[in-house]
Amino acid sequence: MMVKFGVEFVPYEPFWRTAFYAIQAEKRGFEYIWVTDHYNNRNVYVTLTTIALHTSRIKLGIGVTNPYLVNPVVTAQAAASISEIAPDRVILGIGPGDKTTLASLGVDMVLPVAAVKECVLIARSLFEKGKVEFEGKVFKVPSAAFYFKVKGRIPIFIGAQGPQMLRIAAKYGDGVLINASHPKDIKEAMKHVKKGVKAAGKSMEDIEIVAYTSLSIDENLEKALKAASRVVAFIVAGSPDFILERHGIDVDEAKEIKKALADARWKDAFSMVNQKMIDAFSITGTPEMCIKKIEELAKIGVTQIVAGSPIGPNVRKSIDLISEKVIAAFK
Amino acid sequence: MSIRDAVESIPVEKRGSLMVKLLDVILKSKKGDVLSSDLAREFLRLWQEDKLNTINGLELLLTMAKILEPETTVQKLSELGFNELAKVVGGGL
Repeated sequence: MMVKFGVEFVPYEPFWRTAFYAIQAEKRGFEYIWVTDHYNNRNVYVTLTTIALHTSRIKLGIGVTNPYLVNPVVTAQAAASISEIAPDRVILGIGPGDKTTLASLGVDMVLPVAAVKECVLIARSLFEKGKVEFEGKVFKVPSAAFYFKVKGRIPIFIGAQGPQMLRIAAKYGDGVLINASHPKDIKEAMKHVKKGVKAAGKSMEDIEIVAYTSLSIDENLEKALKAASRVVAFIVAGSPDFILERHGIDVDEAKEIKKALADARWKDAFSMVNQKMIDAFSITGTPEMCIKKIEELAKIGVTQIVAGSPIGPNVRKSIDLISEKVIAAFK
Repeated sequence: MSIRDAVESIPVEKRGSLMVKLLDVILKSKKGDVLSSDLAREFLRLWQEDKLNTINGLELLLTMAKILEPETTVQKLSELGFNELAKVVGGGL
């Protein structure tokens, strides 16, 4: 069973620490690094440039940016500039963004499906032709061109959750990034992905299906669970009721966690996270447990697993562990 | 004795385990922002080149660990039996 492995970094830590883990991931056989894009952390493009300069093989994913804060032409310019440093290694990930974050900047998430689709078309035209003329529902680019040649191919992956976005992602993207760790959620997403693939006249082999997971791995199960509960608490708090119900999670318990987080009662919030929540929203456990769950995801059609936060109680050790035990099991 | 002199006295076979311990001190520190960008860039260069377990690498790691977590560093060094190194790093604390 062939599965590729990636690792996600949220650049809230000093640049050298993120770059350290990225170099480690390359040394240990990961194929992809995905760096998140939030204005309140270090800049995704600067982080990826630093990583590009210290690595030579691993793919560099912008994971993911949105079409609202930066004009798509400038987003394409940034990706193409990194691709000059690391040709054929850059992947542009685009999603609708996070409503709360956008709202904090006074930006409305206008027509998200159209905005993402148009951003993809604008960026792709610039990557392939070096120029673009575009008139869409959200973006208008009367005439734009790069004064430099784009080096290497830059695939575009789309971060998608809802049915419409998943169909668009499959239709227009080279890959679909699905924020999920459980087979039930991936199965549900795949229904819509398949429709998008069919509409585009593509086959499933033409696109990469990426499970952007929350992963916590350690030889010591208790330590892995403890690390996971800190991330899962936030996922539970942010999940709509129908998702919670899909996993048999008590909606009232989720509300309690949300309230505790809002009140900054971290310990209370984390202690309310139960095994059902951990199972629903993360891949957590010993290497053997993680392998089993990844096998289930691969059977459904996932082609890439991204190990996202927390990765483990000790990130350095967990990256080594994924390499030695998990990646090795899928070779 | 300087940190470098103390590092040079460490047997080659113990350098790997010392590197790992120091890395954990450095990577877990909550004071990562205080590190100078010059030291940080040198750290990444040596890591990329697999040279953190060399004399230069260990000297750099000890310097970083001392800046970030002086007390923890001395404690870890003592636990590992690097008493001379602990004394040098702890000097002035």
